[in-house]
Amino acid sequence: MDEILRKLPEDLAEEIRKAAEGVTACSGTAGPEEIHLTAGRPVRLKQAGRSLELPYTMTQSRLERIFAGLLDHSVYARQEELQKGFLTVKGGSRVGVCGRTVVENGKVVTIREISSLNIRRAREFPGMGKEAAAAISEPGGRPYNTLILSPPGCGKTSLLRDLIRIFSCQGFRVGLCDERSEVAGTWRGIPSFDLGPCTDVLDGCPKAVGMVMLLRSMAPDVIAADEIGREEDREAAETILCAGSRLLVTLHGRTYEDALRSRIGPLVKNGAFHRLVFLSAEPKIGTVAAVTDGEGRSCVTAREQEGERC
Amino acid sequence: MLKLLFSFLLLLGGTGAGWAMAQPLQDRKKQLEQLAALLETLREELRYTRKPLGELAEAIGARSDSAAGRLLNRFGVCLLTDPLQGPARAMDESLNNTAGLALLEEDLHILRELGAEIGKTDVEGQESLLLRTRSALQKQLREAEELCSGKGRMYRGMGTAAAVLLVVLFL
Repeated sequence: MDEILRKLPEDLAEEIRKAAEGVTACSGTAGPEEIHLTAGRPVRLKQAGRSLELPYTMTQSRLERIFAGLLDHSVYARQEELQKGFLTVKGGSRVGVCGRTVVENGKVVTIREISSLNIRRAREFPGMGKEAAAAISEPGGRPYNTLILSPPGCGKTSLLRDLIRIFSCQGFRVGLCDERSEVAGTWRGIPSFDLGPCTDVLDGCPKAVGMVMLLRSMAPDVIAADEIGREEDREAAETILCAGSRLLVTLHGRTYEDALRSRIGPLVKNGAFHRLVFLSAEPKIGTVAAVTDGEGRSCVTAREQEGERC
Repeated sequence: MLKLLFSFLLLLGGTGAGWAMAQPLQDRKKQLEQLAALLETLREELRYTRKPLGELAEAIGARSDSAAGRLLNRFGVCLLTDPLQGPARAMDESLNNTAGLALLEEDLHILRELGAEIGKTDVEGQESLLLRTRSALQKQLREAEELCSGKGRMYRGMGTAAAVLLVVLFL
């Protein structure tokens, strides 16, 4: 939180601290989950499921200054992230950027005239993956090829982070391809989060390339990646599955059918993933709504029907 | 004997004064050379590593034990310490607070222009900016070299000549 506040004007940072302390006192949650800055509008916070409006109106010039600070005054260093519409800052927090896009040959080159920023704070929840880890592990403890599905904001990145830590602490070598630096929150080569003693992180690398690089260079037992869903990601996943490493990946979606319809649908249909974990935000973010086998059957159902499978 | 000693001291003092007047010209020439070299290193590391400006400037400046290195290092530290400050103000602060700089106002103007523009575009834009700045500094360097060989020699010569005259008058 301090790292985010450092990049904001002192008076705004003070307002956020005061408001956050008030909510923390009532709800017990530590710090806001999101800070939303919009030019010409009051600053909004989201904490403990509540939306708060601060007595602080953001001006265009201040927003531009904050944006330049978030970029570390180095547009060239963040060009690729900007093209995707977001930045990742020190600590792994993601900043969504809205404004006027500059398009060249049909591709977004950069964003200018910034109109709003949404800062989503990254946090770790050690232990949140304990039950899920048990549900996705073979009798020997090695994880199955697992796909974690959820809509945005339901905790799949946090769950992935904790599962990586759990399996790494069990002695499995985990290779994490962290394309957006969100899972590990790597800063100058050091992860901001605890990923366990046996985890190697390839930071800022496109997943399709990075997963295969990890396979060839780090001999991992498990390869993890967040939000796979492109055609090239599927091809990389196939390479990894053929090589014998286990996959632990996440995907945007709600249901088994969403997984089948995605670009990695063929892998799901062929039973490459032995476990699918479905997350929900009810009653709270990170709730494991269901764990199924590769055919979408609940593990409990599969256990009853097949005896030893789960 | 005393006269000889005093004459020798006069000669030494006069020559020393001449050299002291010429020294800033030498220092300026040296610092312009160092700055041009450091900016070239910055350009190459920026292109290769794509690290943020503050990190690059701090690290590259720290590797050079010179006034130019201290300037670049301070610029980087300013950017890292106060994220809201911006390169223009960081450059201003660095130019005003780095000890031992022998640069003229026109040299400083080139660096301030760099501070105003750096970090705002893609890699190609940054390379182009750094090349232009380096080119401007090299033009200043050529003028500084001419001044060194012209004025510098004149100051040294005048210092020695004045000392000789004083010795002759004294004797």
